[in-house]
Amino acid sequence: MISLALRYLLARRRQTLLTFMGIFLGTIAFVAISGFMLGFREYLIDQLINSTAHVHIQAREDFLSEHTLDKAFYQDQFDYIFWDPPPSGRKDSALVDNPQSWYLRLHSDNRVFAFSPQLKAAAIFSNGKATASSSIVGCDPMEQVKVTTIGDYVKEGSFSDIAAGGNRLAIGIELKKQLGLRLYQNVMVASARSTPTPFKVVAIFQTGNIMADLGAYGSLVDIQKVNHTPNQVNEISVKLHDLNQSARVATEWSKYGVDKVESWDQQNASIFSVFKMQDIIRFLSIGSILIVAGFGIYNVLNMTVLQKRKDVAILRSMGYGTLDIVALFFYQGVLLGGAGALLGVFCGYFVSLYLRTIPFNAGHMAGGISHLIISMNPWIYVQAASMAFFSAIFASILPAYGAGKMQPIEIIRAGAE
Amino acid sequence: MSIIAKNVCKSIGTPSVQILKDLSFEIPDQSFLALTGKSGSGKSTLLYLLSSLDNATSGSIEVDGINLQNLSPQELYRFRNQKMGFIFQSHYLIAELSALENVILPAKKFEKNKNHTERAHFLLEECGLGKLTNRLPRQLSGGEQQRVAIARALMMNPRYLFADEPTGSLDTSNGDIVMNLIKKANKDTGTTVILVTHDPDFAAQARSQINLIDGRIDKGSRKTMSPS
Repeated sequence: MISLALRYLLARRRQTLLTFMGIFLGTIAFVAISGFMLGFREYLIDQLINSTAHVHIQAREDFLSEHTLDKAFYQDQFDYIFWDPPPSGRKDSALVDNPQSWYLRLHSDNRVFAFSPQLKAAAIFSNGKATASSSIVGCDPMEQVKVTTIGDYVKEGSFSDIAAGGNRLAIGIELKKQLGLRLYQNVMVASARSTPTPFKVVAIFQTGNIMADLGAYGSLVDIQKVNHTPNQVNEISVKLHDLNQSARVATEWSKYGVDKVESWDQQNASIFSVFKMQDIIRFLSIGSILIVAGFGIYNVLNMTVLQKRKDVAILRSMGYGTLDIVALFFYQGVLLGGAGALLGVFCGYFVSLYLRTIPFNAGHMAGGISHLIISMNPWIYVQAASMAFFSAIFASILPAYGAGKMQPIEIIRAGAE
Repeated sequence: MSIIAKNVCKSIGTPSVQILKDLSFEIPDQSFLALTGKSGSGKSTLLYLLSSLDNATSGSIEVDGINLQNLSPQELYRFRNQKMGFIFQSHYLIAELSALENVILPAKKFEKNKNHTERAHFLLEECGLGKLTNRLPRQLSGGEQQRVAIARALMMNPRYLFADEPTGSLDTSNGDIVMNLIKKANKDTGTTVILVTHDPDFAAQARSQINLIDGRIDKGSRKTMSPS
């Protein structure tokens, strides 16, 4: 039956070509648009992961609500307590509670690849008359480069040089511009608790993220000194062996103490909800193309079934059964869908390769982007082929089933009339 | 082996109209029977009932001792494929297949892996189409198309050949060729032929005849057949 189905398709070349083109172009569109959207998404996620590590252990920041202090003052004495004025402010600590116990725990956990204790503080940088307020991160640069890829973004100098101590800084390109600094020049750094302290710029980095590029890194000890918080940290960034375990590990660790433990994806939940919406729009828009193509197959097959009623009658009189007739028309849809899907993903791959060569001015996202980012994730191709193929199959079912239900006697009688 | 019809009735439509009325007869093996009658007398309907393409409203039809209505669909498909051949007024050739491929088509149903080309060639040769085997139906004349249909009907060497006005759309000379091929099949291989025809000349070439008048057998029409 498959060879006869193929003959039917080849006999109606124009119709077949038009129907095939619907599936073929729909598949290419799916591959190209998905590649574009997912490519950009992968870049964003890559940026997120690289700049923020997999799991963050941070000092808890809890704000007081109207009823936060109810139990502390009155336990269960009253059903409802009115405060005038209601409590407000924060009840948190700005620093991680007992970081040493975290270090021990992280050292013994074999899921952890590396971790980097950090002290993040607001700071005012000044170079002569030029000043800029931004944040500074104190870290162990040897561990920091394992946890994030900040080392890869260094344009001048060496990130590891800040480990040498003696007030050395790695600054972002935006901060460099604001202060008019050069490599190995001194800059004054002041925190809210300290007088300005001179630091030497030993590295300049450019991540592509403006906020990150406005900041600076120094050694943990130096920043603790400037901030007057010796041996204290307000964040421990952790990199796991398996990125996909981040949320589970963060949830598990959050039970160990009062500190806030979040995975990178929990921290950026709003971005992921945008991605989900993006996925829905992508599937709806491209799916609608394939649905239209499916309708093309449905119409063509319906026409074919009507045109081939006599063939159905003679095949049935020869002993071909209902399923043979269903298969004859179903195979046509399968052949169209299969060919459209296969050639579509094949050409879609080359379209994606071409799109990658199109120059793209990324503006501030200068972290290495000069061309369109197109994802070549194999899953896109599987999805595109599956959607095209199954839309063709669904479109074929009804006409094929209708053909299978035809009774030869009715067709012969109609032919005789 | 024979076809035995007992009290066969057939009604169609709503409100129902009785086309065949209580027909009983037997068609012996190797017969050449002509079903004749005016338009609307029920001869084609009877042919379709005998060939299992349609079901009787009441009564029974046994072919080779088997009531075909009792067969499962798969058994019926195989029975039809192995034991029955059909020729219609229209050739019903598949336009996308060559003459040879059309002839082979019945054999592809249950014997996909066997090579049937030799027999198909032989049949086409017998039908005088030995040089036209690779032509598509549209490249053949009406008479040639009908001869391909005959070759296709004989492909499985059927025990029964059902022909519904096979000469109806042909000119006299082509009609004669087709009739000769049908007679030859009956004579050479002992195929039982049941032929529906309007043409008294062609009916006269059959060895027996049932003439239908308003769905009943005209008792004066029978030749060698004995009423059951």
